Amino acid sequence: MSKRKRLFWYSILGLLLVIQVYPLSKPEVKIHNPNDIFNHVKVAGDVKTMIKTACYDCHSYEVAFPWYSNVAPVKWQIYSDINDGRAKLNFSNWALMDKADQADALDNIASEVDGDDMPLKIYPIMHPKAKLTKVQRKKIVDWANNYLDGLFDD
Amino acid sequence: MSKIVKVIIPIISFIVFFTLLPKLELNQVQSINTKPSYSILIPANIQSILDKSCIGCHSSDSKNFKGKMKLNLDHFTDGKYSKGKLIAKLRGMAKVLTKKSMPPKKFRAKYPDKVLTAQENSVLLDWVKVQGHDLMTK
Ligand code: HEC
Ligand code: HEC
Repeated sequence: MSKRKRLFWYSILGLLLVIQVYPLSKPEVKIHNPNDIFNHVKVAGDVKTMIKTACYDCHSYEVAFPWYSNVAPVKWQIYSDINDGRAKLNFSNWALMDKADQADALDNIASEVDGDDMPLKIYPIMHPKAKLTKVQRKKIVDWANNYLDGLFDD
Repeated sequence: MSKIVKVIIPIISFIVFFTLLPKLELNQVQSINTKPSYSILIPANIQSILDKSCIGCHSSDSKNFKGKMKLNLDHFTDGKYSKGKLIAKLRGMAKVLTKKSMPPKKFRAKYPDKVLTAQENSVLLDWVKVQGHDLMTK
């Protein structure tokens, strides 16, 4: 390999090393979440498991960070997904939301899961258990719609 | 040296692949609404605001699949949204009106005449809030 090529690859390697030290605060993690949705509503076991495995890494304070989440530039993407995801929906804060916000959230959960827009496409590749089948998606959608209607039964 | 290439190329392809991946649209399933029941009366002044800025993407005739799935204003009056769904959609509307994020940015740039005026925004926002509140206490 020519000298120029070598220089090129070394610079890329160097760049990858340099970006590792770019400071970025890690999204907050909390283990005890008294306001978590599953502390407040009874949810069928399989729906709960699906939501915990397919959504909690981006939509709760209970995040499991895999090793590669510490490596830039992957880290930047993961942190920003968690921050954006939590801003839209945080299952750990469920009981702090008023009923209409919960309704809005459930409606969005139903449409995102129905349209196969959530979890983000990238996620199940690294977390195969988060891959939802059509049947599983329908279970979540039905759960969300029933829960939503039940909120206003009087 | 070729070892470095063997390592770096996969790393870069890996990153590029993962950046592009979320942009792919895969299979969609049509959603079905449960429990038909309530409907809302839309007064003429509100209807004309909706007609001007929202109906194009948020009605049964819309070609905008995503917009129609998220909010179909026809179902406000045809009884196809349950009480819970209506409350959810009204709260969703209150949110986008507060953030001034609808119509979408690209659309606003292309059709400046369809952007909500400040006056229309606040009239519509007040209306959705009152409707939501009324339904909640019904
Ligand atoms: C890899 C991270 C990730 C995972 C896993 C994930 N989400 Fe999201 N979610 C996001 C991000 C980022 C956003 C905000 C950007 C957007 O709307 O695309 C979001 C937005 C949402 C929204 C708001 C959509 C809107 O337009 O209002 C809902 C609802 C949602 N997710 C539900 C879920 C559900 C349910 C699951 C599990 C089945 C899930 N998400 C899994 C990252 C994730
Ligand atoms: C050019 C088409 C278009 C127009 C015009 C438009 N929308 Fe939307 N709207 C969309 C699309 C597309 C989505 C789905 C966006 C998404 O999920 O990322 C959407 C989503 C929404 C949502 C759901 C947001 C959420 O994340 O839950 C609401 C509420 C909404 N629009 C209200 C309105 C209102 C009110 C108007 C009129 C002031 C309007 N829209 C005009 C295309 C449009």
